Amino acid sequence: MEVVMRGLTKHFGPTVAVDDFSVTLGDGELVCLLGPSGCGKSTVLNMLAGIIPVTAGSILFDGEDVTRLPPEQRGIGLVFQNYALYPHMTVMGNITFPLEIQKVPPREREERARGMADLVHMSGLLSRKPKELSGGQQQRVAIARALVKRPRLLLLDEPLSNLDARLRLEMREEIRRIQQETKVTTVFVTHDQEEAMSISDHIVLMKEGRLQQHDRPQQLYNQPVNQFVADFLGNPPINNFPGEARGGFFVAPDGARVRLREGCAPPEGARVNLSVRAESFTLEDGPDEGRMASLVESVYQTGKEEMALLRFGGTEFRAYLSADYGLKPGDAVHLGLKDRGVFLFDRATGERYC
Amino acid sequence: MTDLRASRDLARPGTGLGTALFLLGVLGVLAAPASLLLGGSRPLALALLALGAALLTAGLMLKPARRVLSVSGRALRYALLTLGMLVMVFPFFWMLSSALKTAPEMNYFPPSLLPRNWLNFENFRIAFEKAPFARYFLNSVLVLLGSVTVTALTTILAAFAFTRLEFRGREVLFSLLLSMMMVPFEMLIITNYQTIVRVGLYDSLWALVLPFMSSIFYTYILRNFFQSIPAGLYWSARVDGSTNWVYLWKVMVPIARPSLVTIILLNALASWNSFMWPLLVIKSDLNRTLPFGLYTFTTEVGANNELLMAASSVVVLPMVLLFLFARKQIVRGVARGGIKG
Amino acid sequence: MAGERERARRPRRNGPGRVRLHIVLLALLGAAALLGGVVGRRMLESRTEGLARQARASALLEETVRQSVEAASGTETDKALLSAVSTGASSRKRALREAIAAQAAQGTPDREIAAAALGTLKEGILDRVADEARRAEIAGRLDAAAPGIALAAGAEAQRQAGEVNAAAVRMQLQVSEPWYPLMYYYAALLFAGVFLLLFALALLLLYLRGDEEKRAGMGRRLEVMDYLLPFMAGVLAFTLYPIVRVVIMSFQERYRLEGSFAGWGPGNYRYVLEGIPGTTNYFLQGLLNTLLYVLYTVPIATALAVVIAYLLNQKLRFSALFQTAYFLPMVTSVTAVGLVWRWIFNRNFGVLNFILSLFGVGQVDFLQKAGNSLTVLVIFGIWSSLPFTIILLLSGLQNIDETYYTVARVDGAKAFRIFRRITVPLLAPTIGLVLIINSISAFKVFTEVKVLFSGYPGPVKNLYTVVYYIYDMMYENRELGRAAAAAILLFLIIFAFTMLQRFIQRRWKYD
Repeated sequence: MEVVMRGLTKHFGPTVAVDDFSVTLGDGELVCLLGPSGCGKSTVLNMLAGIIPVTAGSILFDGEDVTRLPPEQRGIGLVFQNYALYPHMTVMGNITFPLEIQKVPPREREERARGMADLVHMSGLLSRKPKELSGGQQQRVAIARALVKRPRLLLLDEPLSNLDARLRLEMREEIRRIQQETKVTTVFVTHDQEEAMSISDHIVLMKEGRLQQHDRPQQLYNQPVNQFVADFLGNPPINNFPGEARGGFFVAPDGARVRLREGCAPPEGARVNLSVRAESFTLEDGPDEGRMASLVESVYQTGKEEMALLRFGGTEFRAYLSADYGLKPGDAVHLGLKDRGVFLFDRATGERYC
Repeated sequence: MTDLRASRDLARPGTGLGTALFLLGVLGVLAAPASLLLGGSRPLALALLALGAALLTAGLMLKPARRVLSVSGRALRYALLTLGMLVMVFPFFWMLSSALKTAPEMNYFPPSLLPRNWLNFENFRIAFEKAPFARYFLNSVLVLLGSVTVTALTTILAAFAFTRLEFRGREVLFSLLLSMMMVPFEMLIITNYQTIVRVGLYDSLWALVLPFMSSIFYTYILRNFFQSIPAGLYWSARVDGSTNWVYLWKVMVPIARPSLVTIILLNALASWNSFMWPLLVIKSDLNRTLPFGLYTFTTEVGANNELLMAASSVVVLPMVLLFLFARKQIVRGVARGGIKG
Repeated sequence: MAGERERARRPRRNGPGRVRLHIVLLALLGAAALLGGVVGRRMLESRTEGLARQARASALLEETVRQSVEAASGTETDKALLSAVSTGASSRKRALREAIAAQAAQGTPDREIAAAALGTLKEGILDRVADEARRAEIAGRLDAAAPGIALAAGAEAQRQAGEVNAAAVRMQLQVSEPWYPLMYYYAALLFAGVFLLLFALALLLLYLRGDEEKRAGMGRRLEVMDYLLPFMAGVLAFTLYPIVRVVIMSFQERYRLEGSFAGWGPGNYRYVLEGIPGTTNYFLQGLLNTLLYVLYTVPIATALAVVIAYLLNQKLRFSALFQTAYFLPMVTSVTAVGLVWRWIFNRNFGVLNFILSLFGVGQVDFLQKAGNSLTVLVIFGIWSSLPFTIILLLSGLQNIDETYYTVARVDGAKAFRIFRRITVPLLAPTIGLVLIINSISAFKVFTEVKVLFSGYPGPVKNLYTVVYYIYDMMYENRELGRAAAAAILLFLIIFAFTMLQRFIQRRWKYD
């Protein structure tokens, strides 16, 4: 089911939580609402669910305006961060409850519930109570319960935040798998960019109630639309070098400079950030205008690669460099810049120049 | 409840007929008791009630307008709560009202709701003359202060010992104490009565304070709270050279103030309102506490209820004031205490 | 962390100093207790002696008088005359008694004293008789009977002096002697004194033998004792000791306040459970009344409270007002409020009858008619237990996570289904708790009865409750053993009832 949000706005008294948010989600996609705390992603989710009223704007499910519809009439499935499994019912009872409400006959109820349980790999545990299940199992049940009524839209609010690190990896694969099998349009909210990057078809990145970028994960990573997007994605975080753009060069406060690539033409004298991903450096043998002369401060081994902590233009930065070269603290090196993962942003507005 | 109402579709159609029938039905149901009060006959009232109920149900079946339903739902809720509230509060109102009535007014039938003269404190004056209520009041206050202080002291010291001081058998001992908590006081009074007499405290105010000096219940509550204070605080204080005494009174007690206030409030309530124990161990009139004094006053002036009501007001008033003042604390304390109990 | 602890326990904490302090204090206390015990015992002995002497003297005197009147009077008129004479002049009698007591103190044998008393009496009697002949007659009879009288009087004196024992002394001294506690508990004081001294001695020995480390350890343990002592003293004296004592007492037949009892046996229980044949068994009546009270009050109050708590749990205006109103009865004295209700239930002028009359129901005699008394009690009981119950249930309702409701709403559940399938089951543990607490409380109903029915268990002694029975046994009949038996039975019943409830409720919890 296609979801269209147009000009969605939400005010809580004087505070603006979501501001003119317009996004279209394609049918059968797994979309992630990503952003830091307070960016409005949960608010958007709640508005999609119909749990909170909309201040302005509209929501369309397959062309049907659902903005004023109560949640029970929208055909959605909801999974909360704390799963909200009814503690007094068994797993089976929890899964069949939505069908009970819809007055589905018992035999069909049970069949569908079992089908769901199979899908989420919880078949053997149907008679257990929630308190007897692990976190990951509880979440599977919550998902099964949300899906059993064949919703048009599945909403998950920070589904993985309550799990420990290892389980998180496993469960996000599971969510992906389940979504692929059912092909239901799914929206999930998270603040963990790695999570978003690994399983989503599309990512919707938000900041302070506004949409920053809506794209495939790789696109957000490789073609961030502004400073915020570039900063938010990527581990380790992107390196930002403050300086000025002058005559086709990036000039750092201490005078160190590097030539900007072809076609990169920021306003002269603009205060900029040169942003380079840690994996976008190459180790070269000699100085060049297009290279950054840097000083190695410390070196960390990570097996096949080294991550070095260096300094250029007064700024400390990280770079992944091949281990073959045996760098030591104090070495002076010349780093080249790859084509990918190098950007120039306006320091004040975050606007991207290159 | 989350505000689902706002996003609800107000245009959900309700049938006009349903609405009309529903409203008529409500009218009928309400008219039934009203007619009775206005002097109508019983069969009429019953007929109205039945008719109203039928119309109401029919209306519901045909789905009245959503607005009407939700408004009447809210109205019903408020009506029920108000009715209940009146039942709860009425005795107190009646008590005050009767306290301000004169003796002849008390015997009106139908009884008058309000006293003729709101400032008629005559009953209070007479009551205070006939029985030393001022003295009773003083006794109750003294016992309350004494009881609260002594109990708080033993509780604080013991709770601290069971939390921060380490000694062998600490947990076993505490479990033993908890099991003793189950024993009802009514079983212990026999021996305690005997003890009080033998120690020579019969008919003294101390007899009302000492038997309650140790409360396992309060110690349990306070210990729970103490345990939630991180041990790190304690050890860093010790490392700085602090003694247990200083740490207890300068750090733990101030932090545990909410819990202590709860304990003190509950203790104060129990002490002020206690009746059976003073009944047993106090003999002379001048040593009586308020509830007991009130009771004996009853045997003296049993028929003059206006005096009794005045006296009752005096007994009830301080705790009511305390309650108005500390309602949230008391309610929270009772809830927490009840759940733990 | 452990290292820090070690450092913290160094001598700065002054463990040894505390030990020294305790040694001194305990020794002093022990000495004082010992002294007190010795003094108390001495006092008891001298009082006993004194009382025995007085008993002897009284017995001697009374018996002498009685016997001599018997002996000296030939006819009825004589007897009457002599009685009147010999019992008159109480000042003379008092002087005589004191003289006798003095002589007894010196150790003069009773017979001699009796004889001397007889002599004095004879003088007094003969003084009153005018007639010479009668005088001689009476004198003759008295002389003849003298030895026998002396013997009999002496024997009686011995007997009565022998009956004066510690128990009798205690009974007499209980209300008159300010030092009574000292005398009563002398044994305990002696014991405590010895114990404390030994304890101090032990501490001293350990202190002298131990090193710095050991002394610090002792100090620490003593500190624990210091903190726990006030509390444990109270618990021991007013909780643990009574528990044990009451159990024992319930098997001591005819146990009296001052400690005397007839013997061991199940007599108390038998009395309590069987009563006096031919009369009402008030314990069983009380048990029945109490059970009925519990079974009526608790479920109804709980059901009402669930509804009210549910209504109060919505977002409301005036919630503070409602809360104040609903919780008010909780803080007020049962006695005071009970009196108000008594007035409300009044047959002629009570408000309740007035309201009933509005609905065409005739006047109801609430308080004087036996059939209605339980109803009255139940109504009052429900009213007073509502606040506490509502508070607990409200708290339980608020603890139900809102997300459960939201999920159910999203699935399309309507209010009633939500209430039935989600709210009530999740509230079940709280309801269970409320049922248990309220029933325990209801089993102990007493004050309500006393106040509503002006100090009597119902209009015709029909509304005894178990606790009322215990109170009656204790205060009116002074039969502590029976009260103890009833109390133990009450405890067992409450215990069994609670266990039963727990058993039934074991499926109601989920976490």
